[in-house]
Amino acid sequence: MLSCKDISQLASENFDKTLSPMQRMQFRMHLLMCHNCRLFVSQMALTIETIATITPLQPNDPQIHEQATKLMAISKTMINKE
Amino acid sequence: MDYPDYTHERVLIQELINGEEAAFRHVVKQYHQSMLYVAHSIVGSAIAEEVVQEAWVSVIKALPGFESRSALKTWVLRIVSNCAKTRLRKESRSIAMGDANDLEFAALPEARFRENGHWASAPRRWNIASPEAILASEELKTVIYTAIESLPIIQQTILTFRDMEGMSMDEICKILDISESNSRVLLHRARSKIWQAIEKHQDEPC
Ligand SMILES: [Zn+2]
Repeated sequence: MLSCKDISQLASENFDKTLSPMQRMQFRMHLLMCHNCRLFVSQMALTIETIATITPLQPNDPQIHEQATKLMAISKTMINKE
Repeated sequence: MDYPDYTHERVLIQELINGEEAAFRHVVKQYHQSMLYVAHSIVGSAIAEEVVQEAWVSVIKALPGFESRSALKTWVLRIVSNCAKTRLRKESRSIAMGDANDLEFAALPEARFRENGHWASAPRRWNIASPEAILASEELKTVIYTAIESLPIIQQTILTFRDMEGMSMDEICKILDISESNSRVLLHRARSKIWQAIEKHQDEPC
């Protein structure tokens, strides 16, 4: 039998579908009986789906410009060496 | 600034080899932060930037020989990973994986559960039901960004690569040189922290 604590630990793997068939069955059995864990699992899914819509951190335009300029200079010296 | 659409990587690669500025801006915008994540996760913050610069030079050097057996970004991140690991060997250090070592700890605080494993403090209902609703709230958005930024760097890296960029776990493990089970634990911890941050905000909006 899985406890609520076990469910909280396995919630990510449930979402990612990496639980073994046995674990998956036990996971579902617990959810059938436990309102709190149903709530937790649905909130965790919502959390992960929300994270998925966030744009990852990127450098700002001046940083991009500076780094790109640096790289082009390196690239040019390499071509000249050939 | 102008960022052309490089859906076809061959075009992008050719333009990089030709020295087109727009192509360089594109890869810096798309890859640089991810490169920093990898370097930071492996060698720590002090020399992460240096390792990334080293990796960029290797990338530019090796680009004409790139065979497109993987996505360009994956290839670039593997180069960063190799540069970082070489650096560690030179300095005879081992990977500073931080709390990857204490994998016993639960993702949620112990106090949330009774001794028998039942919830002691059960999840509270949220008054939001979709990612759009969550991100429509500027306040909540800030809460989530802050929670992500305060994660240990390795968790931040895995969460970004896996959940925001959709990279495969297998690839993430190879690049960061960690086991699949460790990375799953770290990913779950990261997600749990974000869940807790949202819950806390629901309880006591700022
Ligand atoms: Zn339960």
